[in-house]
Amino acid sequence: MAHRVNRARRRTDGTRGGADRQTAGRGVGRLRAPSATRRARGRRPPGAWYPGARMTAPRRRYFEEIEVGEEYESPGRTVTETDIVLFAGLSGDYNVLHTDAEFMKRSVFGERIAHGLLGLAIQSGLFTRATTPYATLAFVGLRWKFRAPIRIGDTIRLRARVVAKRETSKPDRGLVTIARQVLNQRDEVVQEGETDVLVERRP
Amino acid sequence: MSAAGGARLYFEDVTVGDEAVTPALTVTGAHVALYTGLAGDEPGDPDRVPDFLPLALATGLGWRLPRPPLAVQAFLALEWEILKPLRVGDTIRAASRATARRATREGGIVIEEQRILDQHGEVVQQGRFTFLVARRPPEDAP
Repeated sequence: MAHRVNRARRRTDGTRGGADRQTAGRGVGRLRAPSATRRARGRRPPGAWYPGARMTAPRRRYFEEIEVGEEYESPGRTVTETDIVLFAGLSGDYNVLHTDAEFMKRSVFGERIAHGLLGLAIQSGLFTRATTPYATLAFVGLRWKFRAPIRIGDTIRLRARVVAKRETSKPDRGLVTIARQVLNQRDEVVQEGETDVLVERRP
Repeated sequence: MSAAGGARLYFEDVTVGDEAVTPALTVTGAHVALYTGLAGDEPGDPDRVPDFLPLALATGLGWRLPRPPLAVQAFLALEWEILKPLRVGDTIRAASRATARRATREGGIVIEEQRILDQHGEVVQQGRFTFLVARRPPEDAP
């Protein structure tokens, strides 16, 4: 996201496309700097499966580093029949809405739809792909609306915004409230709500 | 037609106040691995139960109560609190009761309070589900 913004700004400054590409190239290179790779080869970082694996603990953001108003948008994920079958098997929720194609042909939906809680599970996974992970201590609360069905083949993505930060009685943590919208490929909101997470403060 | 979808509890059958407690289920590493893969969560401590997994398992446990399932037409809302983390090997059960019912044009709104208990009887998660429930179709009348 930051890259895109920078590039757009440079272009309006009148820099040629070639220079942009070079800058972008250098930016990517910096992410896997040769020195870092060499360091990783030398000593196996904790959790690495094989020498050379860059498995150092991912950077996590502390309460102080999260700002109200930050917005994230995740990549999309296509919800498949397999996802629904697996979720029915795992949860044991075999409601006809999700499992009986013939019954659902005669319903208002016309076909099987995803479990609401499957959409909730998928958006939590999408959140981890939308931004640098928080130093989360605990997930504490959810206020959620299921607005529209998620159908087989729909591609959903998450749009999230930090709406509040609050200190708690314990000095090592703070509460972060995130407003989330799950959108489908037509930009319709299928689920939305707020989540509260307790995030570590910088030690 | 009445056989399609099996026996179900319709809006007319919902009684406010009755609490039902499900059988118990031990949460295993396999549950955690399957859920993490399906949700696409970051793999973390493999013994820590992901926050929404007990919620998903509780909905399935509800199907094991000796009564037909609620004829849910749509899951409208969920308010949920996570009070205590669960570890692999913990055993959960769900206790739920309808706390409100209101007729609408399409069917009826049912609010159900649910608690998830661990093997010590402690409440680990709790909250409130709002469902749109179908009315009994005429051909299914008793």
